[in-house]
Amino acid sequence: MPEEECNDFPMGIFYIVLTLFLLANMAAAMARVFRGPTTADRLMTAQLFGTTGVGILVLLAEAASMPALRDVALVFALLAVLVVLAFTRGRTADEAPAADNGNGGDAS
Amino acid sequence: MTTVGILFDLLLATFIVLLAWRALAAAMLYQAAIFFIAFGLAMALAWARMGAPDVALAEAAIGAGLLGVLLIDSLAAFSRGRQSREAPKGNMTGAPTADPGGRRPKSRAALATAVAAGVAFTVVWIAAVARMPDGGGLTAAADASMADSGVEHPVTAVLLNFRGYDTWLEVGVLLLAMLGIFCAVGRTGFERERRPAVNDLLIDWLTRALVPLMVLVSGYILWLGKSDPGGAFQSGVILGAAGILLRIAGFRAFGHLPVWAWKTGLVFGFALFLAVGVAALPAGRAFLEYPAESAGAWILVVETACALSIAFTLLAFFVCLNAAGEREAEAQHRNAD
Repeated sequence: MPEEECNDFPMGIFYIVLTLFLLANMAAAMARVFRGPTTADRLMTAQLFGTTGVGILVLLAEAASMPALRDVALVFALLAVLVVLAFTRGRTADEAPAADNGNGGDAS
Repeated sequence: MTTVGILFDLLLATFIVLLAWRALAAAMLYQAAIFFIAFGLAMALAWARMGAPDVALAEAAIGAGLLGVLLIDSLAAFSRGRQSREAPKGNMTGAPTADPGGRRPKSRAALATAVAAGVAFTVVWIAAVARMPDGGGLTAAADASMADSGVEHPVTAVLLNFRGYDTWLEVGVLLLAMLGIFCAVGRTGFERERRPAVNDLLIDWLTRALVPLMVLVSGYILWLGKSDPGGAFQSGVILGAAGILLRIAGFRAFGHLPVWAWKTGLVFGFALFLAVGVAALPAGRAFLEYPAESAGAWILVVETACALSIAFTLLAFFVCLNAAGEREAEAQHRNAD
């Protein structure tokens, strides 16, 4: 099926070029993921990957006329934020007991 | 395929190999988890590019979304215990001391095994591709029976009807994984309160905005399975993610349910699938064969049950792993005092 994508559909080429551009953006971001230096930097960039990925998926949905890919983008956009929440919550809960031990009477 | 398309594919393939390598070779587990999340994202793009939106959807929901949360949160929960043992104030930025497991041991034997396994896999793969029948094996047979399947989407027809026992056993695998976690860390997590409620406007607002959306999208994806890519697994993952989000934000999220209700929720999908399968036997049909005229309705019932069970199971993964981490941290604290 991917073969048919942009033959008699001039916008198809345009979409594919745009996806390539977005992917090139991700390539630049890869440097940050690899080099860090902090875990937060890496996670932040991985999140931006996700945002760019949503863009690529939406464009691919048009380029390959596969509307189902829009649903993939939707699911992606919904779930991506969870990782950041888990990360920040893990960190703040880390710091809380170090800062003050009587933190509002934790369930014991 | 255009040149631009080929360029896109080459770049994406390079990404995937690089990310996979870094996910395996990263010295810190936190880094490995982040590379793994990025890898899941790149894989979802690759599946989308290969024209497999079903797999892309599953990869987006599980690989890039849910698994990332499980990995990061478990690492955070368990490293809290280690941290208080090693140093009261861990390094909050790169956190090399905070990572459980620390540096991975490097051994020549492991490398040799990996290379041998890679070569063996490549050989098997080439042999399998060379023997691939024209026309994609059973595709024609599946297409010919679509009218009897009760659904319009071929992937759903194969997963829930033609090869229903595969899906049934997959739900069983999730259940087994849950049992493994029960054995390893116990199931006390259900009875415990989670961390004290969060006084954070951002998290609070985000939860209130996102959870209803997630429930809605979960139902949408479930219903979509009839005619388009979607279905029980993806839907259940999104629903489970909504529960996890509630827990992260400090809500109890089914925490007030008694343990037997949790257990029922865990086995519900598997049991109902089995019951539907066995019910076909006295009627003279094969195991898991739906009556042809009402197959669509049966598939929807089974899928709904499985989606709920999958959501429960994933939430239970999160709750149990988290509780185990907390318990370890508490034990460390007590030892330190």
